[in-house]
Amino acid sequence: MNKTVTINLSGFVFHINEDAYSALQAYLNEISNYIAQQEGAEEMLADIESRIAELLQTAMGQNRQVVDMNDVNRIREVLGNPADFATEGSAPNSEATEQTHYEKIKKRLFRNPDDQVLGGVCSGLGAYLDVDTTWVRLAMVLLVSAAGLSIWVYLVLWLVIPIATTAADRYAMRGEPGNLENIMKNFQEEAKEFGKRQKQNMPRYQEMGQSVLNPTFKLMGVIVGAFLLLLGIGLLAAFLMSLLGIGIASGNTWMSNWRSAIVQSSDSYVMAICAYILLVGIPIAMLIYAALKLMLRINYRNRWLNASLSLIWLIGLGMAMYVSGTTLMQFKDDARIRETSKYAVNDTISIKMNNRSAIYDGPEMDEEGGHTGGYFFTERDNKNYIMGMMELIIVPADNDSLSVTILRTANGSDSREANRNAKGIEYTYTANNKGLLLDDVFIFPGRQFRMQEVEVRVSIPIGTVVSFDRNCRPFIDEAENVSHVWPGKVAGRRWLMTSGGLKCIDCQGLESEEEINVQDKDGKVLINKKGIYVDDENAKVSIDANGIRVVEKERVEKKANKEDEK
Amino acid sequence: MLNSENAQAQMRKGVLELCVLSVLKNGDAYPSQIIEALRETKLVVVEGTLYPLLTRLKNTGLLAYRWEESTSGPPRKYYRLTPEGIKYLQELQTAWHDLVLTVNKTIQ
Repeated sequence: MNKTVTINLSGFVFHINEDAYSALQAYLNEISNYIAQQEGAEEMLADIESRIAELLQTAMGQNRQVVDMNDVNRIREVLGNPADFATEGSAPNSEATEQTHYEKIKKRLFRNPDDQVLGGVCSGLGAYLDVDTTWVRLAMVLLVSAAGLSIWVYLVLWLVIPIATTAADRYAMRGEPGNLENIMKNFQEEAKEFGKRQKQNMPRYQEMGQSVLNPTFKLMGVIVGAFLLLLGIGLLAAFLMSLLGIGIASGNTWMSNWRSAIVQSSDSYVMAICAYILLVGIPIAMLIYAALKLMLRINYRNRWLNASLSLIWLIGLGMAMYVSGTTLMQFKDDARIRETSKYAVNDTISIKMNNRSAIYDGPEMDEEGGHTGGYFFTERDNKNYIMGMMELIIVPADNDSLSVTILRTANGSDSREANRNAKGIEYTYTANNKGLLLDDVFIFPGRQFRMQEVEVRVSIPIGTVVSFDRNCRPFIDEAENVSHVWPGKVAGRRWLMTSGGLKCIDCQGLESEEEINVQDKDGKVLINKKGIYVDDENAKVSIDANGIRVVEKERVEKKANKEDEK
Repeated sequence: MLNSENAQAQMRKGVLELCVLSVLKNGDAYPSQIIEALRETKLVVVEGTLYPLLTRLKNTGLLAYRWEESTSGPPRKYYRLTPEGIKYLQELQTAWHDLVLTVNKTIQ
């Protein structure tokens, strides 16, 4: 599909393809350059146009309506090259012709009313400096964001530079020879007609950008465009930084460790990176492109570009789905391996941690007892290990022996693989009648990360006294105890196992929240953990998490006094 | 080596005026008819060369033209020789014959 332009040659109307139109226009311009200095140039041009009209009229039969490039070439064949129009006296060669013309016509600085965002200053400057208007506008906008300088420059130029009102002004603005005005005017009018036709035929988006000459609208476009551009540049910078981060992560870093631990092959890693670039990069690029178009009022719509970018983006999406799908499939099934051992123990036992994490140069445990948890990467003998922290649960036993249950869980692409992953977990402990020595961490050498976990459940006979070593601290914040001691304090103390859980023996002074339950003998006043409750004959008063509430029974008085008494 | 084509083109250009006037002596014509007549002489192949010449000859009064409606486009300019043109042509013809004679003698 081609756009056509309607032109008028010697009173005959022709539809002409855009490319043919510009070729014909260029041809006529060139000819006029050659004959401009000859006597009767205008008449000659009229004759030439008339002849062209005749040739085109002959070429357009019943079946054809639109003039195309072939017709223009045919015209060239018949009429000859522009140089053929030269006579010895007037213009022996084209260079000389152009030079003489451009020397004669001095360029003048005008504001261009045909191409303006605000006052047409940029397009006028562009014409004067022979620079594409787009660059002038871009420089203007960048200077605004740099120092705001160009706003003032622009306003001054707007005031100082006259607007090109007549056709002659416009030629002077572009530095084109004025004695060609006739033919130029012709084409200008035809171009205007072309614009009108476009307005009628084009869908609305074209009209919005191109034909609505409302300065407010255009200014809004520029501002929104500039904002979007800054946003796009910011996003682009962040995106490039993240890519740089991924690139650097090829060494022995957190990123690359997780990569090799989770992703099954380097191919899928490469695919994941490509997917990332496409999924994130393309929208950013399109944002910047759209912002520039909006800001510089470019109304060029490249459907192929949009369609192919969308397609590539979809490919990126497909790759991302494939990679994440195949990766997730590695976690599809899970396996649990439980292994229980029973031990006869003394009345007093100790529980201590075997600090393998320290051996493996792992992270130091939080001294304050915070359970850091999770997984860590360690290196030993030039091999990378992923180290997971076990979870310790201490419960009262329902018989007289100490039992230790190790629960290894892991995921895998199928149940066999999951089972293999669970079996691959290395976790050990030692037990004797005096107590337990538990590894604090587990490793799974030669296996990838598949959600491996170890839970150690220790059932202690009721009546047994347990002393936790201080190094147990990170692991027993979950241990239930009936003494309401802050869990972190469990370590380093001696505890008695009761049917309700551990009870501290030597924690005097540490009890932060000893059970409070005070009641007066009439049952009218109650003070416990929840709050203070008074049930008087006059009113009911409660002070607790819900606030202070008073429900009066008969009279309205003296509620504050009652509260003070208690 | 200098190309002789340029010299040939100059020669043709020199006698173009004479030929155009001679064509018009046989009857009124518009530019593309003149081209037709001249095509065999290889003097001119494109119409572009004619326009400046015709315009100049018309402006100097050697040619005149009349408009004639055309079925295939805008009205055509039919050129004809004015009495001055006829006189001018005769002078040129005489000069041409003299030139041919002397030139032939010289180059033989």
